Amino acid sequence: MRDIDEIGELLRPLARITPDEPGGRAGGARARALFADIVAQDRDATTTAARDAMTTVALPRRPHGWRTGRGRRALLGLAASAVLALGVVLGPGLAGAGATSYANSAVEIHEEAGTYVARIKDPYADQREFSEAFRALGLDVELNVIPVSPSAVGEIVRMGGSAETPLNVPYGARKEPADCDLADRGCFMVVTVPAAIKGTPGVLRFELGRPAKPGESYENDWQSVTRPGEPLAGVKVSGRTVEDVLAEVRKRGLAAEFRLVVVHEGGYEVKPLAADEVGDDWIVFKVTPAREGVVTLEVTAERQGGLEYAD
Amino acid sequence: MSADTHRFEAVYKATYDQITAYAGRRCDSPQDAADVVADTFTVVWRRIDELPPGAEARLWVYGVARNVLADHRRGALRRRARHRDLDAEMADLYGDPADHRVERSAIAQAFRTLPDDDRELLALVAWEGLDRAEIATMLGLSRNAVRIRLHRARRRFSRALDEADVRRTLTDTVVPVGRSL
Repeated sequence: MRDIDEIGELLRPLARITPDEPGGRAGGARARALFADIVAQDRDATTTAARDAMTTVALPRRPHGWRTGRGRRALLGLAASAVLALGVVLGPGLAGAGATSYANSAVEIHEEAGTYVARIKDPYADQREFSEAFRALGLDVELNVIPVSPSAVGEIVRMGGSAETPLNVPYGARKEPADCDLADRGCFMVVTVPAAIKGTPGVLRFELGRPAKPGESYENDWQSVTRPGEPLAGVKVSGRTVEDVLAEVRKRGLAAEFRLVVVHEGGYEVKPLAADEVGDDWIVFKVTPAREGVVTLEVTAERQGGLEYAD
Repeated sequence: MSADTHRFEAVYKATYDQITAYAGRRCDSPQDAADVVADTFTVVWRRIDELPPGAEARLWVYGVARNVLADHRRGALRRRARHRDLDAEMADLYGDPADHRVERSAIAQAFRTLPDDDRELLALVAWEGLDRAEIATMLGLSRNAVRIRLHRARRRFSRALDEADVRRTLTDTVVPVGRSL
């Protein structure tokens, strides 16, 4: 019988993509496009959606609860989790499936050519009112309107669903009238979902960005402030020293807070970090929006091999 | 709230290349491979709460990819919107069909006669470079179970090669050290 090394030698040339060759490029444009589609947080997904209400995007889900911890357990749990999720999703009943329009003080929804058009009347309303309106029409849609930094206002910054939610849902977000200023009366954010989702299993969750109130923290705090429309648009920050980046920040009249990036194999997390613990020579990984006039520098004490610094 | 996105971004960057290669080695068309990659990471995102820490993360993602691939082969996956760019990238990887003569080789023929599980085990070793412990973690099996299955897979493959009259011509070549199975 051949030993495993010999078998390896025999099989390696059969691999369409040779074992030492990377299959793709995680930092490449294509990989980034897929990433953006999956987390559906990016301008690309949302601005396209704004132009064309029928943009199709991948539909991710942010699960809550039933955390399973260990790897093997989690792996075996995949099938079981799907069953579990089904139970959770089917839990709330869908009443009033016959109606085609509904309004409360927060939102007005009506059906228009196979599409439900939800006009946000009061973006600061109690969150429950948005979902209540959709549910009243038999749509299992949860809409959260969250405070975001300027570039994300009027965009769906995140969307999700459950295990049973179809992967592709054409949704849209736009302003009415087009390109109006949300500070003006008569300018509304509008979210559209296809009427066809009525009756499909699985909840659809949207997070729609609204302007923050003075001093209110932004909830899109994973996005970069180097995006167009943000205070550090186009500035290179990733991989530079804290001293350098702070100079850029101050030049724009902004204040900075810090978070510590803790890298572990396969991931990293951010932790609170006091400004006086940070050295000037520390390395910035990413800068994110905190609230008006304040950005967060995500930093490490030294350059980390495990992090991919942006261009 | 952003912790999920951070974790996903990190695991995506850390495993994208490997999962793309994994799918590319197992799917007959670049379109299918692109679908498997996209669906794998969609599942990872959905299940980000379950992502194990440390080195197991990569193996867990491989496990997801394997499940997605199995679903895909059963035709159970909903067709998703085409990621044209990813398709193009995959098409590049698949390269020129004229270059695929190895697929017609006797070794490839012998490999193809094996049961799916045997092929997958041997491929995880030869192509993904996983060791026995890693495969055990990925598949949710004990190391002993992997050892036994791998042994059987080797035996069946050896037999298939003998039947195909593939001589042991490679014993003189230099074999990379460091992997013990």
